[in-house]
Amino acid sequence: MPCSSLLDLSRRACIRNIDGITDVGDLPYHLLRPILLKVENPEQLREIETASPQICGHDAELWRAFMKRDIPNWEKKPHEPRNPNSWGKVYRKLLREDEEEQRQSEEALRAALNIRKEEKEKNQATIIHKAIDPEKRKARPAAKSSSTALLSFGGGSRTKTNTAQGVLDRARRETQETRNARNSALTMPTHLLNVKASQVRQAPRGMVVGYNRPAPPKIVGSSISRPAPIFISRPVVTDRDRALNAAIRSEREEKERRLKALTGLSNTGAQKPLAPPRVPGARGIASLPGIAAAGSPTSRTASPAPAPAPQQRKRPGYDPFMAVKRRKV
Amino acid sequence: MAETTDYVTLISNDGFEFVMQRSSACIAEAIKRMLDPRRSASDKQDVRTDPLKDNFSEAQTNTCKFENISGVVLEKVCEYLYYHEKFRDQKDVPDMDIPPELCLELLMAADYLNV
Repeated sequence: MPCSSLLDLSRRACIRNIDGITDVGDLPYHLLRPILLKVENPEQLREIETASPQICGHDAELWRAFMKRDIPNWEKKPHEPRNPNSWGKVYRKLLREDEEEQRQSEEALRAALNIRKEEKEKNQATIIHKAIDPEKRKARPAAKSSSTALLSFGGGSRTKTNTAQGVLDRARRETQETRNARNSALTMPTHLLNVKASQVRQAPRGMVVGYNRPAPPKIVGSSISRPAPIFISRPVVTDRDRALNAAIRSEREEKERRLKALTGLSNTGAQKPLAPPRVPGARGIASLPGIAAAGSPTSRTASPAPAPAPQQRKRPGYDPFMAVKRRKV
Repeated sequence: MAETTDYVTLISNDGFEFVMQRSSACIAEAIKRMLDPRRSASDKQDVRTDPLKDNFSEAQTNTCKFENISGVVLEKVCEYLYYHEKFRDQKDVPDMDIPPELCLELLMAADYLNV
């Protein structure tokens, strides 16, 4: 007969509709074998087993096929059931074990990767997008927490702070700018600009020291209008020095009188600049060179000055508050 | 004496009766034997054990009752028998259409009837 038997026909029909089969009734295994071989899903096979237990012992080969397909290394594991009817259980057990192993290895891998990642992050700098100056923070407490958005409308800057290098550069620049701003002359308020220049808060130290010293005795007849210039800030003047100075002065006065008497009429007489007698061993006579310096110019000016004594001075006398004359070099 | 009529009746377990030609029905080995006038109930040459107790009545009445086959399935069996008859001499015949809900039962019946 050319056409296939009803058995074959129905078998083929069953295989075509394999997905819907959950119960094979009481059909014997030898009939069902070709159909069950086509079952893809172990769960389905389990259902069929439950519904039709008569196939249980015979479907060992089916479960073996499933194990081969789904479980790696199934030969190494104990895969023979004690009860020949419970192949399904063996398969399920092995599958569960396999899944467990996979999960564990996945966990181990993830942990290993995380360790690497954590170590890397430890060495990296976290970028804080807003650094608050501690002084300014006191003035501005509790501003709203800003988002770390990199795009903000109207907010641009020369130094982009999206990298660690950028953050450092910006911090450096900001500290420099604040330092400059704090120390610059531009920070002087306008209403104090001219005030500070003319205010005198303290007396100049040199004058204070000079005030404390005993005033030099007035030289009669000589118009010393210029006090002795002080070259050293703290001159040590002892009694001996004062006595010495007094002696020197009196001698000089004597000599001046004589000189005036001699050269009283002629202004351009050769004038020997008086050199005060050098006293050996006199130390710390700070006023000596001062007096010497004062002596020589005053002696020169003294001679022309007393001659036209009643005449007025052409130029004003020395005034410490006078502006210093600038000499062109 | 059994009369061999042209038509036989196949009865399902839920009472459906199908009348078909004897020649087609006897394609199925079991039916053929059932309808065959048997010599004796305990004939040892008969390999298949006859589930029906009364062979003689079958042969006489030309009816076969199947206790384990339902009407729908039996109908499909009859359809197959005619399909078989029709394509007896041809090659590469298209398969008969079998609805999924019947295929398992049909398998059972086909095995029983050895067809």
